[in-house]
Amino acid sequence: MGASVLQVKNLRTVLDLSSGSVPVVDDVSFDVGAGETLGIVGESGSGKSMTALSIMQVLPQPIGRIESGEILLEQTNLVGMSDEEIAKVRGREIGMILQDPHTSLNPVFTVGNQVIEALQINNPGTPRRSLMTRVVDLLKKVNVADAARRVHAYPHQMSGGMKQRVVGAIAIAGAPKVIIADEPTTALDVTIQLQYLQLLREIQDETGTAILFITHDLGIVANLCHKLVVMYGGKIVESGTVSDVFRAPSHPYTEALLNSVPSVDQKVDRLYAIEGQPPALSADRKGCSFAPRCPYAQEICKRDVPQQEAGLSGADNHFASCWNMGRKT
Amino acid sequence: MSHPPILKVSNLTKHFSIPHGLLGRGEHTVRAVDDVSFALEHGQTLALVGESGCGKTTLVRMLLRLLDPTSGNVEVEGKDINTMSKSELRHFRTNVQAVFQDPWASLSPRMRVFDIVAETLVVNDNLSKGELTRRVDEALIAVGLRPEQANYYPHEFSGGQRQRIAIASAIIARPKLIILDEPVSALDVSIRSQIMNLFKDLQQDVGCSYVVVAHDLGTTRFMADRIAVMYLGKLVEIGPTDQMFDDPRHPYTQALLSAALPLRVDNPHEAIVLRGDVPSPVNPPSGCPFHPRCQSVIGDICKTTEPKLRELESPEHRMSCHLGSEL
Repeated sequence: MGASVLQVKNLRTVLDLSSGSVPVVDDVSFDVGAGETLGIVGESGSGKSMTALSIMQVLPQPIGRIESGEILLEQTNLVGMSDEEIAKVRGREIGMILQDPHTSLNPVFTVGNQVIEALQINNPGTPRRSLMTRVVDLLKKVNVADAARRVHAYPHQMSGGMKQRVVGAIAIAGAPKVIIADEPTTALDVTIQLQYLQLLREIQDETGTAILFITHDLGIVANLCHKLVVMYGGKIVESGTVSDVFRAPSHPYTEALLNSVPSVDQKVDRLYAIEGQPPALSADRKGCSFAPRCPYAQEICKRDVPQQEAGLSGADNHFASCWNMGRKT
Repeated sequence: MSHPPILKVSNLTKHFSIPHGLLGRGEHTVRAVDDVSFALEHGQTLALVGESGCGKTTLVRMLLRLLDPTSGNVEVEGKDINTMSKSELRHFRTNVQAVFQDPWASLSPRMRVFDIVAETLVVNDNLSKGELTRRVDEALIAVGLRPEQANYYPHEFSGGQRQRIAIASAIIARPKLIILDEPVSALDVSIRSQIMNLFKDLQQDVGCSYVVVAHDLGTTRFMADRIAVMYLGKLVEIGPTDQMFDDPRHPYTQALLSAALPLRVDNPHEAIVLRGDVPSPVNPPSGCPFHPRCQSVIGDICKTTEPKLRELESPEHRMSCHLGSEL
């Protein structure tokens, strides 16, 4: 694992709603190195997808904007770039894979044409015909069977797993330094999900690309990612290496999340349930956003936002933000 | 002899014809569900698992009599649901209920919670207003909502609460069998465990039986007493949950269950990665339908002869694979 490829520092993204400016990503910092996979875990509304959209700068318009913070791709800050500059980063430096392959491909073009489009961003002026062999190579790389014939297929002629492979081929076409994968396997069957995760691992081994993997599935994180950040209510509540966080979860939300997932290893009679619901977006929030659901919550939790504490489980890079860290046993 | 099982499915088959060729004159047959048999005892839960296109949904629709089978039959408490008289059918419609995946689609946005929950009783029983209110209150409390929330509309609730409303309307007529089609997969992770615990509590309190369709294998292990695995419309293995997870016998079950990623980081998980996609049910492979993807093909017999479902050590546990059949 090499130096940081992507570094996000104190990112704050807001949506300007009629009720005021609502922070959806609040003081979020993390970094991911070459050949490294970072999992971003959270429920709907936790800000995990908004973090991805902020990095790509494709926030919902006109209401979404990055209010402060830095997004450093190697040494270049993407925040504040002009539209032309950021357009050169998308697809070329950062590739993206979205959840639903049925909507991320254009139904009226063959998949070959759609991969060529991605290749042309990097090779402007190259005739399409000469790029065709590269397309077939890319499709072979993502394990599309019978690639030479499949380049002429339309998306509707392919299965969901096959389409998501094509999306993967488009994402790696520009040999990006970072791939952002936003729930890429949620729409796939479990056996196909397994194939796809293995494919991502192979691509990473071969190209050394950094992967930002956004998911709500802790099983995938345990098996694919090196590091993870856990998001709740727009903030990072805990981060660290996967093995540190899974062995010694320090934030009550992380702990509860790990306990509430039904195990496939053994049968249990009752699941741990986190009472209540995830917080709604709102402009004025006080204290820790998990406090209303937290079994350890005290007065201070409802009043003041907890600060990040480092050095948990003896590792410098294991952080959590909670008032009760010392107190709970 | 004791009571008949709550649900008995015998040789259930559903074929669909799809037009094919120039002007749609030709016809292809899709064997969506092919010769499926199983039984479910009172108070038990059976999980149906398999990949998309394996026929789970078609099967479930036949259990609810939303689709007529091509052949075979479905019996609820010993009565064939497709030859029921009008009054028997009325009883069936209250006795068998369903909860679907998407609580945004399954509740009418124009009806108040009270009317949604009370509907089954209003249609089928002639209850006084007071009695109706009492039953609705009871159902809402049972699913963890407050009686005064009966006056709200569905859009005023979160996803988890909407699923609770759907459950309240399913249990109000005190059904003996509830079909759960992906009941938690549209919900947030922290809400899923609340709802799954609720299903278990309801089962303990009223003794209902469940048929649950779920693609999440952790959910399956938690909810089910027995698991039935389907592949291309066929039942390939059925058995008690713990046996299925700890000692799966059919190569497809082995691969499917190994695809569930456990929450541990200590020892790496050994998963069986299957080759390729599920074949098209229009043109299923010869012999064993799983042989093109199978990691344990034993020879030509897999390509030529379709294996029959046979009993393993106990009649409870059955599978269809040539593996071990030569012994």
